[in-house]
Parts: sequence; C-alpha cells; structure tokens
Amino acid sequence: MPHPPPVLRALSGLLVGFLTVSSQALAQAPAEAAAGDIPFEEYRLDNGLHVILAPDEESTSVAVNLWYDVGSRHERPGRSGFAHLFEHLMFQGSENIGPGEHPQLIERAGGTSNASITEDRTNYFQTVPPERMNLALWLESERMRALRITEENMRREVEVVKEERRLRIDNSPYGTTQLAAGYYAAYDSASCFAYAHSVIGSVEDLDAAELSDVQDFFDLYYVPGNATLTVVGAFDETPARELIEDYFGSIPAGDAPPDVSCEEPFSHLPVDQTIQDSNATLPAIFLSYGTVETAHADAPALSVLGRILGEGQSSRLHQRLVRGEQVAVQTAAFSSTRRGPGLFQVIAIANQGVEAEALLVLLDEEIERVLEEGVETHEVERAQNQLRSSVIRSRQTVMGRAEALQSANHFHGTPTAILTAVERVARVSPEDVQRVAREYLGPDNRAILRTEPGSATGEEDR
Amino acid sequence: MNGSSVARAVSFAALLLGLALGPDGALEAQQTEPPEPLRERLLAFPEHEEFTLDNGLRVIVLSYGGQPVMSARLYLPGGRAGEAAGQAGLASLTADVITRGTTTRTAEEIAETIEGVGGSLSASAGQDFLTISATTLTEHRSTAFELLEDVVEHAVFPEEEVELARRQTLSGLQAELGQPQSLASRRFAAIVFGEDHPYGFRATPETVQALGRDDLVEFRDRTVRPEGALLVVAGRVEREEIETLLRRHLGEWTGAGTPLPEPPQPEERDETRIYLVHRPGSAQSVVSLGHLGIEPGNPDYFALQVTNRVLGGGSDARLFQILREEKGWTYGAYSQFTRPAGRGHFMAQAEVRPEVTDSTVVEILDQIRRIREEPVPAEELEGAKSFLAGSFPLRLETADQVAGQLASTLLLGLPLEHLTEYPERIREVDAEDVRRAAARYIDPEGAAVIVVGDGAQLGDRLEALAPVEYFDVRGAPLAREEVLAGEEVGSSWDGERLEEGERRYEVYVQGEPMGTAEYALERRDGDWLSRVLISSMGSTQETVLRFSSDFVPKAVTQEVSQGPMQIAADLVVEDGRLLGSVDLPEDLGGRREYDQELPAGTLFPGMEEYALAVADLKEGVDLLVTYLDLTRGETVRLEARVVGEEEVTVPAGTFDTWRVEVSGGDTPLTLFLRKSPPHLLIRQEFTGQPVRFDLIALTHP
Repeated sequence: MPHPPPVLRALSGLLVGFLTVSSQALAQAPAEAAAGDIPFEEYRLDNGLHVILAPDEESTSVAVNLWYDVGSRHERPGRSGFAHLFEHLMFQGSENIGPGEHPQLIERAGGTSNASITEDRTNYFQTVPPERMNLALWLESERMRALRITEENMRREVEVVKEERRLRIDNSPYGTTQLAAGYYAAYDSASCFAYAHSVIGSVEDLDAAELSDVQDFFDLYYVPGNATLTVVGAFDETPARELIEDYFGSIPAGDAPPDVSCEEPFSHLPVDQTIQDSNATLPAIFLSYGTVETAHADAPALSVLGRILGEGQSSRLHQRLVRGEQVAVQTAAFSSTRRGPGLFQVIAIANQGVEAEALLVLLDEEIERVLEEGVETHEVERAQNQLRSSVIRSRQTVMGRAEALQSANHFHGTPTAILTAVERVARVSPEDVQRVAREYLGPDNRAILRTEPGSATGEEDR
Repeated sequence: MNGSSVARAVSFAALLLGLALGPDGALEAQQTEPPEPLRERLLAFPEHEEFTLDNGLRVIVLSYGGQPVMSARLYLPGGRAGEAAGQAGLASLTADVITRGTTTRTAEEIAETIEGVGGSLSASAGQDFLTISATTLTEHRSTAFELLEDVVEHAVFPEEEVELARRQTLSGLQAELGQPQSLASRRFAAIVFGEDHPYGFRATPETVQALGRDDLVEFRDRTVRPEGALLVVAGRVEREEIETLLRRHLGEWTGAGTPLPEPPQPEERDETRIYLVHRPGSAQSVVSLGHLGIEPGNPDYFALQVTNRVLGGGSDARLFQILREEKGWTYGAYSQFTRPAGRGHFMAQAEVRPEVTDSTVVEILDQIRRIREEPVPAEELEGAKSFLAGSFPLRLETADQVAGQLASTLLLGLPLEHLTEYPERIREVDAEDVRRAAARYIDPEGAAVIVVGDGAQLGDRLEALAPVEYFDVRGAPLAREEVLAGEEVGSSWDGERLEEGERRYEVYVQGEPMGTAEYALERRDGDWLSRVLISSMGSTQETVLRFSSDFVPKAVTQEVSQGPMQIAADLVVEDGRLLGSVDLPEDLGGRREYDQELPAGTLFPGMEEYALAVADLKEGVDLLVTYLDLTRGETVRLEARVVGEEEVTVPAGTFDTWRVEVSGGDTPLTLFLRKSPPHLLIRQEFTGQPVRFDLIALTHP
C-alpha cells in the first residue's frame, strides 16, 4: 500500500493550526459584544490598585483575576517578546514562594490557575473554592510585591519561550505568514512599533534579555497602579475588601508607565508581499485591512461582517471558495480589534494545483459583492445570534465573568461597558455592515501576503 | 462567612511578624506563609422542581444561573446496557444518526437551524443511557424544544447517514484497536464482567458491520420512549413555561421503553490471574489491575473516594508519585472506582516500559496492600480530602454542570444527599475509614491483571508472578507456546502470482483530488522490479524496489522531496546483509549507514502491498507482514485482517473487493483489495485522516 509522503500525514496538523487562527476571532468577541448583567463595585487602593468586586450569591466558587496593563505593545525595539517572557517568570517564585509553587498550592486547594498574554494585556487568574479566596489573593500579592528571579531561572524560561516559538511559528505551516499578516506587514513599524511586532518576539531579542531588564520591566509595569484586580463569585464584599487591603495595600505605588505611541499605523499600505514557507504545502492568501480600536463605534459591525464572510460552513467564503468553486481547502475572515488600531483579516488556503492569484481574484469578488450589494438581513441575524450566544455562554462561569469585566474595563475604559456593548452588536444593521466594508475594505488599505510553499526561509519577524 | 474575624486573625499575624521584624521598623508587616483557609461558606445546593407528563416522562426543572441560557437533556435508559452481545455498537450508532434527518428536516437543515440561533444539538450513548441534548440561549428555547421533538419523534435514519456514521465508527474502532490503552480496557471489561455482560462486551468491526438501518430503528423504538425516561431542563427557565412548552412539543409522544434485560451476575474472583494481550513488538506495556467494585448506593462511596485519591486519583497520589516520580517507569499511573447504574469496578492502571512490566504489577499490588494495612498519614489524608471537597464547588458552576450531577444522582436511584452533602461526607472520612474501605473493597489476592504487551518478551516473567492466559489483540485465546515462541517470521509469499502491469491512483484530500500515485511492476532477470511515484501537494516520493520471486528483498532506492526536506535511501541486500545508507534531514537524525543482517522474512517498504496481493485472502484471515522502516531503521510489524467483502466503485470501475484493515504502522489503514488474484489495491483509506487513494487506471491483466 502506498506509504504516503509526510505531507499527507501532516495535513491534519495543518487544519488544526488553521482553526487556531479563527479562534482568535472568537476570543476577541467578548471585548466587543458583551451581554448579560454582572453587578459589581469598583474602587482604588491608595497605591493605585484598581479593584472590581462582583460578589454573587448564586456562585459556588471564586475567581481571582489580575490584569496588568502590559502586553507586547509596551515593548521597546530590541526587547520584543519580553512581556511574554515575563509572564513565564511570574511563576518562578517570589519572596515567600518557591518556583512553581503557586499553581501547586492552588491545585491542592481544589482550584485551577493560569496566565496569558496578548498585545494589550497580561492576565493571571485562578478559580478557587470560596474558603480559599484568601490563598489566591495572597499568592497574587506575593508576586506583585516581591517577585524573585535568578539568572538561572530566567535563562531556563528564555529557552522555554524559544521552544514555544519554534513550535508555534517556525515549525508551523503559515506561522511566518501569520506574523506578517498580524504584525509587521499590517502595521507600519516606523510609526507603530507597538503593534508591528509579535507577542512571541524574536529569538535574538530573547537571547539578549538580561537580569537587569527583568527588574526594570517589573518596576515599570508590575506596579499596583498599572493593574486591575477582579474578584467574582461566592464572597462577601466587606471581608474581601479587608483581605485585599491587607495583602496588597502596602505594596509601593510605583510610577505611571509611559504611553504607547501608534500614530498613522496604516500609512504604509498598500503592501504586497510574498513569503516563502518551507512548512506550508499549499499556497495561501492572507489579507489584512487596517481598522479601528475595540471601543470604536464601527467595531461591532466589523465583527458581524467577519462572521458573514468567513465563520463557519454557511459563511460566504466557505460557500463560494470551498464548496462552490473548490479552489480553497479553508477560508476564514474575522475582525481582530485591540486597544489601539485593529485589523480585519481574510485568509484562504488554496486547493492543490490552485495558484494564490486565483484565490485573490475570488476573495476580491466576494468583498466587492459586499461593497456593492451589501448583506442579507438573515446573515446579520445569524451572526448576531452566534456572537450573543458565545458571549453569554462564556459568562456562566466566575472566570468568564471576571474576564468580561476586565475586558470591558481595559478596552472600553469602564467595567460598565459589559452592559452597553451587547446592545452595540444587536443594533448592527445590514446597512452598517455594508458601510464599514466600504470604509475599511478598500484595496489601498490592505496588506496582501502570499504564502508560497518552498525552500527559502520566511522574512524575519522584526 | 465570618469574614471580619478572619481579617482580624490576619492582622494579628501581621502584627506579630511586624514585631519580629521590628528593630529597624522599616519593614511593613506582612503574611509570609500561605494563609489558613477562611471559614467555610455554606453552599446551598440549588433547588429543583419535578413533575411527570401524562405520557410518563419524568421532568426535572432546575432554575439556576445568572445568564440567559438553557439546556434540555433527555436521558433514555438503554445506552450500551441496552445492546445484545451480537449488537455491540448499536446504541452509539443510533445516537450518531438520530439527529441526522427527520420527516421534516434533512441533516443539513437541522444543523442550519440550530447554528442559526447559536445553539447545539447532539446525542450520545453512554454505558447505561442514551442522551439527547439541546442547548440554546433562553430566548431561543422554543427552537430547542422544536428540534428535540422532531428528533425524538420523527427521526428517519436515512440510509446514507447510517452508512456515513458506520464508516466513521469503523475508522474510530480501527484506531482504537491499534492503541494498547483501549486494548487493555476492552480486555479488562471482558474479564471482570464477562463477555456476555453488557459492561463486558464492546463493539467490534464485525458487530458494527452487521448492523443495519432496521436495527437502529428497532433500537430507537424500544429506547426512545417517554415512560421511564428523564428530561432535565436547566438554566434561566421557569417551571410553568417549560411545562407548557413540553406539553406542546412532547405531549403527543407516547410509549414505554422496553425494560432492559437483567444482566448476568458477574463472577467474583478468588485468585489473582494475569491476562496477557499479545501485541508483538509493543514498545510499551499497559497494566490494568482490578476487579468488581461497588453498587451505586454503597455507603462507603465517600471513604473510597478519599482512598482512591490517596492511592491513584491524581498526579500527587501514590501510584503516580512512586511509579513515575520515584522510579521513572511510567508515563502515568492512576486508579479509579466507577459508579455506573449496575455494579462498578476498581481499576489501577499504568503505562510502562516493557522491561519493568512485571515490577509494575508487583509494585501496584504492594501499594494496595499498604493502603489496606497502614493508616494514611494525616497530611496525605488532609491533602486528598481538601482537593475532593475543594474542587466540588468548581464542578457546580453552570446550570449544565449542576443538571449533570443531579441527573446522575437521580438516575442511579441515590438520595439527593449523596450529591448535596458531598463535601461534608468527604470531610468526615478519617484514616481508619480509608484503611477499612481499602481492606474491604480492594483485593490484591483476587485481582484480574490485564497486561497488553509483547508476550514473547513478557510471558516468562509474568508467569513467575501468577498464572497467565494469553489473548490476541482481538480477544481470541492464544496458545502459550505460540506466544512464547516469539516471532513467527519468514511467512512465505509466492511471487509467481504477481503480474506485470501499471496502475494509477488519484489522491483525495477531504474529497478533493490533490495528487497522484503511479505504479509500474515488471519482470527483470527473474526478479520483480517495482516503481512507485507519489506526488501530492508539492511533495514527491519515488520508490524503486527489486525483489526475487520468493519475496527476498534485493535493492531499494527511495527519494522523498517535500519543500526543503529531502530523504534519499539507497540500500542493497548481499548475502543476507543490508548495506547502504539513508540520508535524512538533520532533525530526523541525519545520514544513517547500514551494514547489518536483514532478518529473514523482513520486507522492504512497499513490498507488503505485493505480499497482500499474492496472499490467500478470505474473511477473518489475519496476516502479519514485517518490513523495515527506512527513516527510523526499525522493523515495523503490520497486522492485516480481512474483515469483509465490499463492492467498491472508483474511477477505474466497480470491483468486488476484500475490505482489509491494517494496524501497526503510523496510521491505521483500510485497504480494498480486488477479490480476484492478484489482489490489487483498489482503494486505500487512512483512519482518522481525510486522505484516500482511488484507482483510476489499470493495465494489469
């Protein structure tokens, strides 16, 4: 029987990798389309720590969730990937806690914990039974107060992060194209380095990390005034306030971090680049259009447009390119907004024997069709239903609600945005969708990235 | 919660520390140890309401959760427990197809309807129940009940959907039979419960192949009935309204399910015996050790939960800590007590390197004796209890989670307190309870020890521990001598049965043509010369083979090119020695030189297909083929089994074929080989991957 070449065995990997792309679009949704009420209180400690408390009699557990207003956009040239490295280092122990001990203590208490990072923020979170809320709060205060990093564990985490990069980018089909489409080709790196470089960073920059950088970064960004602590679930407000004051109140305030600059990030567009990708086996087209920040009035219509064009089997791109003309094996479209200017991304991976150029022609026809003829009411409704459902569903857990409050606070400036954002999506009309398509999806406002399977290495992420 | 006293306690501790650090007065007092738990919060388990429709459907409504979502889950007695032995797989196949078409909606229309409101609709078969669930936002609840009604009352089981589901099931099964883990759990069930007990038998390719649409309809008719079923509606819903909706949508639904047959009484064991599933060349052994367990209502359940957590219930439990962390024998080691509707089981399981298989069995038995005899130290006991009690509230977050817990408690016929008082009951367990429960319910002298692994390597050492019975991977008994004799290599293949000719295949990925494979076989000086060129998605692989008419390999060259990756092999066999080299990319190990004996009967890759072409095929036949994997330098043993006949239509025509399932390689395969000899490949499918080869042209006679 034929032993197929490795490419065929790797195919399922390709499909999985691609799914990850569209899940980013989903993950973005809560920031844009909040629904469901979450009563809360907010206040600040004297040292500037922003606290959001959402006690809730019906909950059975407690989420302790801490967002630091630091992401890859705060990195300076030469130190890309540093915010992510730092997220790893936060598990390497503090004054009274050994390396790796934090998640261990949480698990023994019956809870769960983790952390993550994007361009715009870093979050640390745990869900615990009510009587261990104090443990989670104390552990978070420990590492905010007195993180302890040694040269040795920093070097080890640098290697862990480099391995993560190798796995997710360098050895992953379309990984290099994704970096171009999401960062350095889509944004002008001269005027907006903040978004023109990736979260994962470059290997050279990671290697250049020094222990003094770690302390500087910690002192600058991991200060109470730059963080928001959200506690959601089964607790009473007064004792929670007292615990928070006890654990966090004495942490020195620190100074306000400098602003991030991102002026005219899309003035360099249009861009048209071809990327050689040795991991890819099929040509692909990635389109990135410059759009708006999450809080912008056009963001909800853009996310509805993304679903209509490229989410699921009934989406337009799937119907036309995958099922109808059979020129693509997969398609996707989604709005990816952020704190600063965002992107609208369209992706298609060619079928065997199809040139990237042919995909581009069809993608352009479908986009043109939206610009000319608009979209159908039932398409808008389906998108709204799905967005609404996924947002509401995510709020069933204390962690989901904590993230929703954080997200509203971070991207819209106030946790109350959880109430208004849902209406923003519900108000989107077919005319709005056509209008934003016309506004942002013009040929002069985009980066075209063509993936060419082949031997040369991809352009380096800067 | 008495929060302020906690806060005071903390401040008090801080004060003491402040004094301790006192002299320079500069340091802020603060907590330096993880704080003690706060006072426990009373967890009021959510209330539910219950009523019964006129048709006998028992309904639970759980108004719970702050978000406007709801789920409706219908539990119908008769999952796998409703199958007859010869029909294993029926419940699961019925569940797969029941949502794929009704008298008013096609499968696509059902999918579009539920996706249009951002909801989900699914069905699955468990050990004791068939479950059908619909989940939507509360505002779309009528869509959920409409679809539920349609599926429950009007499913039509379209023939093509049955076939599709059968193929998916067969692929899944085939993959399962290739995994030592599943082989172990299948044999464990068969030994502990008996092959005539519904908990003891499992679906096989043969039973699934034998199921027809009529069987599914019949199973539906006796299972999907309101009387005896339980419907749990959970979320932000109101009882009155749900009742009205249910009367409208499920009020006309009638009938009683057929009572499940009383399963045979499984036999208690009175000796420890080893059951070895012979998996030749297995690089890993799986040990599953255990016996019958408890009935659902057993009051010692809570003590056993703690016992299990200490013994093998997590990565901080004894089995994991000792077998993996201390000894480094294993990738994982766990134990469990199950609690199904009938009798449950106890099982400890570990996956280990072959050479420590017997030591693992001994160690697990030792750990069982230890927990039966020695009281668990206080700290270990507290750790286990605090994990179990602490994680309980985290499992009750959503309405769906609560509904699931509620349903399983009620369906097992347990008092509600078993669920609502779980944390308290766990906290009451003491060291003596654990020792007593372990002594009573875990028996090292009456354990069935299932070992999946290479019997030739393991047999003698295991026989030193206990009597051993041998089985093949499909559960058929094997003679001891047959297994211990080791590899029965050198199967002879008659090359005279091959014929010159050319073949061409299309490669399909997700149903789309994505490449070709070309074959040419010719006589050359009394030998056979085979050329195979596969090109697909930008990569090519060309293999040229030379072998004698009695299937002795003589030479092979292979070139693989995929993007920058190149593999080149050039090997010859001289006087039984394999000479030459294989060039691999650096990350696959670089250049590999060969100068070694080629064991008799070992083929070059690609020859196995010709071996099957000349074999005597008939239903039920098992063939073993060993070939050399050039990139790894290891021999690979393929097992090919003829599972049935099938008419297959490919671009080259319609053929009567043998359906042959192949396991042991990278990916399990299904081959369709022409019935008339030589048995040429007509179609090849890769289990679990959307890739297929179809014959498009043939110049063989």
